[in-house]
Amino acid sequence: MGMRTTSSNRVKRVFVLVPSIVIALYFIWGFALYTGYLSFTESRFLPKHSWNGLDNYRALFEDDRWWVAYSNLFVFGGLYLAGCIVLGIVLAILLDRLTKGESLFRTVYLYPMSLSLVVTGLAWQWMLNPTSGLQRLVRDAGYENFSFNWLVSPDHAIYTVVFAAIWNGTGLIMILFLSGIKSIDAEIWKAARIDRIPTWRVYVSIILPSLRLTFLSAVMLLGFQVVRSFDVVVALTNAGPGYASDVPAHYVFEYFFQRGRIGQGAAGAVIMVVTMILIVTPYLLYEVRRKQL
Amino acid sequence: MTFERKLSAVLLSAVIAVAAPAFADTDVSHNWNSDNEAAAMRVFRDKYVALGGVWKDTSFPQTEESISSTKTRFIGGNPPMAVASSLGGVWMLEFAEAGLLQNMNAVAERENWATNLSPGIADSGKFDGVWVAAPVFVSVVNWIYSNNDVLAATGVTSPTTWAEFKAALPRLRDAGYIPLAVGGSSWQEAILFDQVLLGVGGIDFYDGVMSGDPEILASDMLLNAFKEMAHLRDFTDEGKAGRSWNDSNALVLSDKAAFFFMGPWAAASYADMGTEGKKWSCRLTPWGGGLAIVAEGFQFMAVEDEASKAAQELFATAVMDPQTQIAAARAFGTLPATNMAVADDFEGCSAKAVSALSGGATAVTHWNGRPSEVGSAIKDTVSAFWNQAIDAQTAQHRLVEALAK
Repeated sequence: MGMRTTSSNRVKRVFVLVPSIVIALYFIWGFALYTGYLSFTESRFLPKHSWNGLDNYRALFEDDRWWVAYSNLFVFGGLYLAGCIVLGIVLAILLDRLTKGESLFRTVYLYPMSLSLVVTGLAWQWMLNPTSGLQRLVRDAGYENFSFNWLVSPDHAIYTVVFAAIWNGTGLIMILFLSGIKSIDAEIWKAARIDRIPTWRVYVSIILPSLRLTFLSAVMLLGFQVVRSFDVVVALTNAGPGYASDVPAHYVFEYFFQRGRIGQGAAGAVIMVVTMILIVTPYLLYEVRRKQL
Repeated sequence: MTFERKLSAVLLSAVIAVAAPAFADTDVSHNWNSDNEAAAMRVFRDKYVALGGVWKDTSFPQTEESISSTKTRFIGGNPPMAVASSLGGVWMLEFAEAGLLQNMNAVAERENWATNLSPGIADSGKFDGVWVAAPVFVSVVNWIYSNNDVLAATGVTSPTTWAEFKAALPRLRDAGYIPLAVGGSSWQEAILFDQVLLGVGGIDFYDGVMSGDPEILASDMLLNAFKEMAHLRDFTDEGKAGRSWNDSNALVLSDKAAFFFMGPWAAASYADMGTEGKKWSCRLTPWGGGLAIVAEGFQFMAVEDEASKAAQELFATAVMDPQTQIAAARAFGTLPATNMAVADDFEGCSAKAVSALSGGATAVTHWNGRPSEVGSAIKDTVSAFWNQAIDAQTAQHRLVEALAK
């Protein structure tokens, strides 16, 4: 009897899993491999199967715009990760300290996350636009020389993207850390109180170090956002002024779908993936090693 | 019947209902959505229906999206029968080279398209000598729109030379106006560059740059043009980054800005300000003494079945009918491709363009009607330069590299 249930369960399990595995293999790995293949072909407006070696990569590396987009990936990624995690932790600790109104503030800080990045980008675009937003408001209030034009400055536009994205993403990180902090054994707090250890010291030396896994998930979640950062850029700056705030995902999209340069776009996509593998693998290995020790 | 079964039955029938008629589509893919564009499309539609056609269309906010959808649908085996776009340039050449377009020679010869069009326009409908598109309009791109109230308030008279234009800018700025409305995408910045080229060097110089004349590309005059363009930056507002062309146009309409360079599609929105020449003016920029033009029309996709081909020929007949073109051009506020139009058929901006053309002004093909390399090189270089990513020398160097023949 017991045997029969197990085997029919196994059949069910296979039946349920196989389609999703096949779909994932085809749509994720199949398409990824096809993109890699296209990056070595002459594909322009339509996919073509004539090989042209490394020409697309050569064109990509000679393109000034690609390097702007590529370096923006690191500027955006670094600041976004750091900003979200630091702010998220600070907010989580403050909420943890709060005796009243925690759920109110939690909701307030989580709200930005309920907005899509497109809406976030648009809203910030209106606020940061120097002729209609914040700068105008302050100037109309009498401070004629006030200037805040990062949105339209080629050197600073990417930071407005960082800003909007952090505003959107911090709530999630806050919740992750808050639940982590709450799950820590209350005995630790009692022991710390008996030993007269200052509260900040408990957080820095005991609580946060025991939240390694939370860090890992936060970095992973945000990392994905960085790689696929596209909507917020399109809505906020549309990669401009010029192409000053372009990012690789947008670059690839533009070359694939708007310029009819599928080969070069695919080459950009491959470089993106390779970059991610180079960054993520060492971090994952490090975390896995630590666990084993 | 369990709930799941019902649900899947409903879903399946929904899929069939959506998918079934799609394989017999004879629709026109386009982005003619603003009032004047839609009115022009209605003229073509009515003619097509009067000839016995069944009208279907699919519209998108922008040409890029319409083109991109057409491409995807072609790969899926279900293309629209025609797609509206600029002809002769990037959008058409990519389709033509990839073999996506229909040979329309039979109907073109039967109806004498070649003699109905001026030679330069006729060429834009062909690829390798084969008719693949129907040119219906000619867009003259080098217009300057001005708000005459703003000019009057600052004592500026309408400039007739590039020097006068430049001299007017500081006066307008000092009076608190935005002298020059500019938008934030690369094609708009490239249209501004058109005007600088015409202003600094005239129509032949412009043609030399567009057609890749190595001497003109290497000349000091081109370097100078970039420097003059950089100078214009001081007379634009900070809000220009990322702004759409109609938002920039609205600055002129709302008395905030004085001048705006744009193609004929901007003219329609001025109708609210009354007739041309009073509160507002459109003029072919006088400093070039010529016209930068690009043909607009319908590309015909390579469809297979006889019924679709027949619909295509019927639609081609409808849109190439000279009187229909003139009526549609009037509705659109642009020029028809047919050479049978006279200035009396039009008013305002279009009448000016028709008389300039029939008066023998040099017409040069705009970058949007040239191979994709030309348009891309100009848009990329100019946008990088205008947004201060590169200096004038580098910009000139890049144009030489990309365009010189």
